[in-house]
Amino acid sequence: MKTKSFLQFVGPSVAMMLLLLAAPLLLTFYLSVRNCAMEMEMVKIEESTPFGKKETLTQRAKLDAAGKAIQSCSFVGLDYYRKVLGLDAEAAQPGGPPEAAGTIAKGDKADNEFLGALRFTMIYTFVTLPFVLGIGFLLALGVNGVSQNLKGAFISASLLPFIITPVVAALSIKWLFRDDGLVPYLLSQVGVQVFWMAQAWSARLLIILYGIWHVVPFAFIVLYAGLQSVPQDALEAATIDGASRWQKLRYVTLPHLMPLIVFITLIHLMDAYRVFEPVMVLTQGAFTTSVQYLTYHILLQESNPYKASAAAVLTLIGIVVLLIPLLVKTYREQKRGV
Amino acid sequence: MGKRPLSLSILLYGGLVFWLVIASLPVVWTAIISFRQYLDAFSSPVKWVAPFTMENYTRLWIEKEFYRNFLNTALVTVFTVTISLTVGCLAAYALSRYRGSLGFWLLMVALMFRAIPHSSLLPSFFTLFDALGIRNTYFTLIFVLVAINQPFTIWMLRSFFINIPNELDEAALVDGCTRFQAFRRVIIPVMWPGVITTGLFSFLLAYNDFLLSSALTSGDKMTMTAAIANSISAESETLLMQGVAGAVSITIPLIILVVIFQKQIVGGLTQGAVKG
Amino acid sequence: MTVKFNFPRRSLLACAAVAALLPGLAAAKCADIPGKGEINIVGSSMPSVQHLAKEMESCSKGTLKVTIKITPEARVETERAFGSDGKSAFDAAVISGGVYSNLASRGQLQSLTDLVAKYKVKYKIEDNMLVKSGNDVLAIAYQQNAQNLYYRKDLFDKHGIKVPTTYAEMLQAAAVIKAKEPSIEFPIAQTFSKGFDISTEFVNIYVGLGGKLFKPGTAQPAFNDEIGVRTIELMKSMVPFMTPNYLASNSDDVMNQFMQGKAAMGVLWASRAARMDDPAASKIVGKMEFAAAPAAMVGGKSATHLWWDGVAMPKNLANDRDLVFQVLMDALDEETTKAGNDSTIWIRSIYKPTRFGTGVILSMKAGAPIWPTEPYVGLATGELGKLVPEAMGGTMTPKQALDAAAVAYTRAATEKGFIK
Repeated sequence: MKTKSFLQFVGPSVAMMLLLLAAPLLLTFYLSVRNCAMEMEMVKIEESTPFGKKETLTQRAKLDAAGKAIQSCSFVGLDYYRKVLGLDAEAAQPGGPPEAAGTIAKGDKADNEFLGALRFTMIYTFVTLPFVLGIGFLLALGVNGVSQNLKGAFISASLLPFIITPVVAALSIKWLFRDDGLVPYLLSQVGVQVFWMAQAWSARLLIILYGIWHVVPFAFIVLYAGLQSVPQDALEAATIDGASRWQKLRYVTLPHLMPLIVFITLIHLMDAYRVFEPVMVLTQGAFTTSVQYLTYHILLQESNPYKASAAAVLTLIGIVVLLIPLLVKTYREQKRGV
Repeated sequence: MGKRPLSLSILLYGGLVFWLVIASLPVVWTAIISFRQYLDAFSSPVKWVAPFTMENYTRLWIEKEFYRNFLNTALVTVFTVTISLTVGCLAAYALSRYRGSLGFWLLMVALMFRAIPHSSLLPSFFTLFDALGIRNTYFTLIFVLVAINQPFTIWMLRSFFINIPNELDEAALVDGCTRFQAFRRVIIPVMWPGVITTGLFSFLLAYNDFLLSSALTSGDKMTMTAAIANSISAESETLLMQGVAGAVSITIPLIILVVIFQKQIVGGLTQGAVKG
Repeated sequence: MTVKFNFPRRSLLACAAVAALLPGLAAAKCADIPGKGEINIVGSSMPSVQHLAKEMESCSKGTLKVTIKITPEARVETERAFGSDGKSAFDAAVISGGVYSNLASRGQLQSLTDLVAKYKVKYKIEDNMLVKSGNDVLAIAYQQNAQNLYYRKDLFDKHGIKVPTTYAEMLQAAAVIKAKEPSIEFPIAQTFSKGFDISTEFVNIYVGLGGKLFKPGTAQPAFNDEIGVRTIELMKSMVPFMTPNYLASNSDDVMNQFMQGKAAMGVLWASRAARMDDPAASKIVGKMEFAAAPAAMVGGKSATHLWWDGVAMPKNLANDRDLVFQVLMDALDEETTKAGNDSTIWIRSIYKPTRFGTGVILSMKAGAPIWPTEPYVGLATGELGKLVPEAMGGTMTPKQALDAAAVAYTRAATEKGFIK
């Protein structure tokens, strides 16, 4: 194909991606080093409420001719990055308490939000991965040995956790594990009482369980397909050589499935890093948060697009670092294939 | 494979059944309690049998006008899928036929784009769209979803197009067609299985999207997923039971989809793996 | 021909006469508001807002459509919409005094003074309802609210407990109930959920102990003083009497605990009281009584604050302000108050106080102040809402948590320009 045709054909797609993905990303970088604040002035004003009138000394934003608050924007460099990472202990105002610096160093949540979010996101990603692969593989092996007519129904039913809308799935799990939900009741019958959404460890466990539940079907299907294409002659040769079931698995099947395992890992890493819905639904970021949720939270709750942009850039750096090894590997394979 | 020992069989079937139960429990239980009043749905001790009522659904669909949200989702999804596939097919066809390194780099860049956490784009989306006054429009959401899904779409479509033999369009070119005519005459008639499969996944991505849909729509433009966000912090009767009914309402079309298109969905997942 | 003409016209006149002679009878709300388009309003899930929502939505007729979005996140959504650079996603919002202070300080509310003057007579807008900043009317209030004491009179009578007037007495009462009432394991239910709820509890008790949140005349924090530590300690002393899940108890949840008969007392919003007697949801109809919020210390004022809720319109309104105002006033008119009399404590003079409003009135009499109106209070409560739970849960000492909150607040206030 000629390069000119190529460019014409990919044009629309590339244009969209540039316009709505690349450009906003650049804008995010720009926003992350700026801050706009309203100019506040002290005023004495009479406030009138249903409970009476009161002269109060308070602060009000300076307004322009159109009645809008005047924003003064400026370049702030890496300030927000430092804030989001909790690195600016020195920035405590003179009016603040002297022990402040020591307190932050002890790692209080409010400032180290990004690092806490990153830590949990990493835990989530790397704890779910082996379970997803393991359970998916077991399921694939299992279904492989099941009779033909059952397979179809089983596969359909198994797809459900993967197909279902994540926010709906997270809500369903929340409703199951609510204080007055089914699971706590069943657990209380055996004498266990856990308030799932009330403490960090149980909420995190729920999120991780959700993650495994949600991605297993994907691993299962991919590995199941892979099992269909295991070279039969290699298997037969192994059987003739007297290999046991386990040895056949280890030396013939698994190596064959390796590229698929890498594929699943790559996709899972990308998606797990972006975990959002379960964090939002199960905790609303209260004491455990993920990197993607943090950006969202700062943007919407604190209404601070500048700080949110700093968090967003840090998030992006995180995923790039995470994916570099796998991307390099994919690059090499594609280069060979193409 | 030799004959399987009985213990292994029991383990096997037991494990599969266990997985089936786990896979479907949250959805099934939510569906069950959606037909109950709040006091019966969330009572301790749990009620296994309770009076049946449709009131959560009627309140949700009629009083809260959930049908509007349903129509919004339908609108956004249909347009997103259509535009995604149109634009994606063109790009994927080119990527499957072009030999230069530009194509390879485009694919790698697309792969990186696929990894972008959506919330990283939100701060600039908000700033840009607010300034242009287009934050709460169908148009904006549709195009954002199309762009976000392009990387995945072109990867998947490309893997299908590669399977269409080059000889087919080469023959057309030799006959004097332009590239585009070759595409239209030769490729389009045979590309449908791959397109349908990709379309399914495109549909899923658009239908299931929550973060962008809830951030970029409000009022009566909200999609179903955005509308259900109201129930997230709800603890008591009104909003909560509507949320339960909403959750089931959102899931039913997906179940129908899985039943009808199971083969394509499975095919799509494996296609990406085996070829990608 | 003439006959044909007269007949319809006469019957038309007859209809008009009948319609004129039957005021209020099936007169669709907003019958005489000429207008078209869509009006979007946002409000919280309080019972009174839900009542208003029904009124507002019944205004939808023909080409006019009114929708109100009810969400627990109303605070956040309102501030986002009213503060956005583009046009507001909502034409009006039902807001509390706290949100009002934030919005007014940023100049994001539009003046309604002229509209009030124009429609004062038509909708009987009372002076008490006007919320003014200087001479501008920036909001129209319709309800007063406060967190007051809820207590199960039947259980108190059964065990000979007097209505507590201080938190110390409340803890004693809780101990008695926990020991002697088998059906109740956690007698106290209170909104300690992270964020807004627990920070409001902190402020209520802190001010009740005589504390000052900020250094006078500035936005510098003072809440991390010794009184702050005592506040957290008082809150911690309540924990043994509350469900272990207390850090998740928001208003809905506390209401559930009361209505299911699981808790016997607590300080909760008066606006939620009417639900206690709703047979569809409550197992304790008629058994809950209300009193002034207990004082935090002997001889102190009632440890609660007075709030008002009302409607306001943003400066970045995209709609016809006259139309929106009329729809709002129509929803807040005397008929609505009458119809929803028991759902909250209305400001209108035609409101007939019910026993659900007793708590607020008694709290007022016991000296409860109005919620602080400084625009940076929200920033402080935001940080307190994150860090007080840490002190409650034991991962930080009260002093550490308060100091951290002070530092975080100072940072946020500087970002927003309140502290130079």
